[in-house]
Amino acid sequence: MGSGASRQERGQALARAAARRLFDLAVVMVGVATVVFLLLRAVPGDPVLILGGLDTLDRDVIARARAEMGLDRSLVEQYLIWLGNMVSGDLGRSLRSGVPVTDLILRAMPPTFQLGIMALVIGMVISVPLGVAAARRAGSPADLGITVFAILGISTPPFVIALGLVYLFAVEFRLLPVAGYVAFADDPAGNLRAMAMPALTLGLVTGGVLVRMMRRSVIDELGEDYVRTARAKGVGETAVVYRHAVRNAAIPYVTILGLEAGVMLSGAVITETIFAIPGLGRLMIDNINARDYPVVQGTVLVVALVYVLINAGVDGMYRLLDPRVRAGAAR
Amino acid sequence: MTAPAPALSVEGLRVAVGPPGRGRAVVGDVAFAIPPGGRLAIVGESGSGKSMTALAVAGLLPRGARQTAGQIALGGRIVDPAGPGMARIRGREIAMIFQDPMSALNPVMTVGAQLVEAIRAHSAMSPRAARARAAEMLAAVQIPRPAERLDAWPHEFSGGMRQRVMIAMALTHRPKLLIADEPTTALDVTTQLQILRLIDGLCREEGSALMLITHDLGIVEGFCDSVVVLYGGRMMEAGPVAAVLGRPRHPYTRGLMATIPPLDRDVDWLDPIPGEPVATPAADAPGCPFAPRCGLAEARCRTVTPAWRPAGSKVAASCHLLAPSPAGGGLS
Repeated sequence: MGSGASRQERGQALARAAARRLFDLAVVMVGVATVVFLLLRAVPGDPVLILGGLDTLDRDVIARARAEMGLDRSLVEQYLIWLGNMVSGDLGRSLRSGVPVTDLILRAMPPTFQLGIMALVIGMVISVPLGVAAARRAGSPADLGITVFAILGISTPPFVIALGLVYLFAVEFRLLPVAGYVAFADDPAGNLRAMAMPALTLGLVTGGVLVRMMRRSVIDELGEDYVRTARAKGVGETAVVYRHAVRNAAIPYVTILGLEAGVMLSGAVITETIFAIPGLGRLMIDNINARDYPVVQGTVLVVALVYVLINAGVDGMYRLLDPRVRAGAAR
Repeated sequence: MTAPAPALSVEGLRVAVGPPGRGRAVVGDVAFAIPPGGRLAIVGESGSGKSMTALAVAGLLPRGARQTAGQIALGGRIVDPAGPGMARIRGREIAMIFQDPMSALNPVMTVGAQLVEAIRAHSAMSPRAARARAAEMLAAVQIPRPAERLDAWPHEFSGGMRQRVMIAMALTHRPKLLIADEPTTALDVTTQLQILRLIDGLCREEGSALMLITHDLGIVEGFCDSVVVLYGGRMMEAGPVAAVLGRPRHPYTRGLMATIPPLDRDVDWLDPIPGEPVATPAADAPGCPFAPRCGLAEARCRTVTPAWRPAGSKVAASCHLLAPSPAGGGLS
C-alpha cells in the first residue's frame, strides 16, 4: 500500500520490463532461427543440385560449390555459422539472383509496412467511432447496421473486396490506378494513389474485426460499477462513455489490434499480389514457389522479428493504459 | 405552520425488469418519505427489491429495468429520475454509494482525477481549486496524507479506503440525500463500523438525509430512525425503528428478528425463515408475497393483496392478520 510507487521505483520497474522483453526477443529469435535451419536441412534435395541442375555438374564442381556454401561441414558447425551470420545481419544470398537476402528484404519492407500501417489506421478510424456508437445503442437498428457492415468486412475474402474496389475506382470512375507501386520518395502523390485501394481493402477487413471488438468491450464496460459511479456523480453521458468506458475498453481492443498488426505488417500475400505491390508477402510466396531457400528463411526470420516487436509494443500499450500492469499487479 | 418538505418522498413506486409489456414487476407500490436530515433504512433479503428501489430513486436502474409508476420528489420538487435532467441533480442533490468499493472506482483513473471529476461536474471550479477541494474531501473521510493520495490508483487502496473515497465523492456537493446501498457488506467487520460511523458523522455535519439499504438489522438499530421492511418488492411494515424492531407486527419482520443472534446470551439455534425467497411471486401478483413462507398464512393471504393499514402509533403494515376482527383474533 501507499500513495503509489515513487518515480524511481517506476523507472526501475520499466527497466526490468524492458530487459525481460529483450531477453524474450533473443530467445524467440534463436528459436525461430533454429527451426528454420533444421526445416531447410530436413527438406529433401541438395541445394547445389537444385541450383546447378542435376546432370550438368561434375563431382569437382559439386564439391567446390558445397565447400563454398559451407555444406561440407558438420551440422553443428553449419548451425553455429548460420547463427553467427544472422547476428551480424548476413542472411545469405538468393540462389537465383545472387543478391544478398538482406537487400531483398530491406527493399520489400517499405511497401509492406506502409500498406500495413495505412490499413491499421483505416481500421482504427472505422472501428472506434462505429464500435462505440453501436455499443451505446446496443440492440437498436443502428447497432444492427454497424454489425452487418462489420461482419461483411470480416467475412468477405480480401480479393473480393479488392476486385470490387478496382471495379469501382479504377474501371468505373477511373480515379485510381488498377495496380502497381511507386516509392513514396519518387512520387508521393502517385504512391498514395497506388496504395489507396490496397490499404482500404485491408483496412475494411481489419476494421470489421476491430468494430466487433470495440463494440463488445464498450458494452461490457458500460455495465461495470465504475460507470454507474460516474453517472451517480452527475457526469454527462458523453464523458461517461469516452472518459470511463472507452478508456477501459481500449485494453482488450489493443490486444486484438496487436494481432491484426502482426498480420498486416508481415505481408498480405493476396492483396500485395492483386495490386502488384513488391512487399514481404510477395517476396515470400514468389521464393517459396522458386525454392529459393535463403530468401524464404530470411523472410521468415524478419516476420518473426516483426511479431516479437509488435508483442513488445502491445505490452508497452498495456503499461500505458493500465496502471495495474505498471505496478506489476495481476490482471 | 407547515412541516418542511421531505428530503425525499416516494409514492406508488413500481419497477419492472424485462421488455415493456412482458416485464416482471420487482418493486410494487413502495412509498415512504425521509424528512430533511432523517435516516431511513430499507431492509430486506436478496431479491426484496431494496436495491432496485434505491437505484430507481437515483435514476440509475440497470439496463432492462425501468420505473413503471410512481412519483418521486426531492425537497418537495417532483423529479423524473430516468429523464435527461437527472444528470444535473445526481451528485449535487442526490448522491449514492454502492456495495462493492472494489469495482466502483474506475481502475484506470487516479483517485484524485475521479474526485476532481465529481467536483467539477457541478461547479465551475478550476482544476487547481478542485484538486485542493479533493484533498480536503479525502481529509474529511480520514485518509492520511490526502494531498499525496490524490495521485494514487484505486488498486493501491484497500476496500475500506476505496469506500472512503466513494463517500468523499458522494458528499462533495453537500447533497440533500445520500443513498447508501449496502455500503459495508463487502468490507470486513472492523472496517464496517468505521465506515458506518463516518457516513453517519458526515451526514450529520452536512445536514444530508440518509437512505441506507441493508439486510443487517443491527445496523438499522444503530444508525437509523425509521425503517421500511420490503419483501418480494412490496412493503411489509414501516415505521420508527424503535417501534418496528421493538414490537414487530408483521410475521415477516418477526421472522427477520428471529434470525438475529441475541447479544446477551448464547444460543445454539437461530430460527430461520422457512422456505426460499427465490419462489417469491412478482411484485404485482395478487396476494401477500410472503404467504408461501408464512407460518400463519390463511387462504385469503394467497389470493387477496392485504391493505396497507396503520398498526400502532406511526407504524403501518400490510398483513391480513392485523385487521381488527370481531372474534378478537389477529396479531395486534
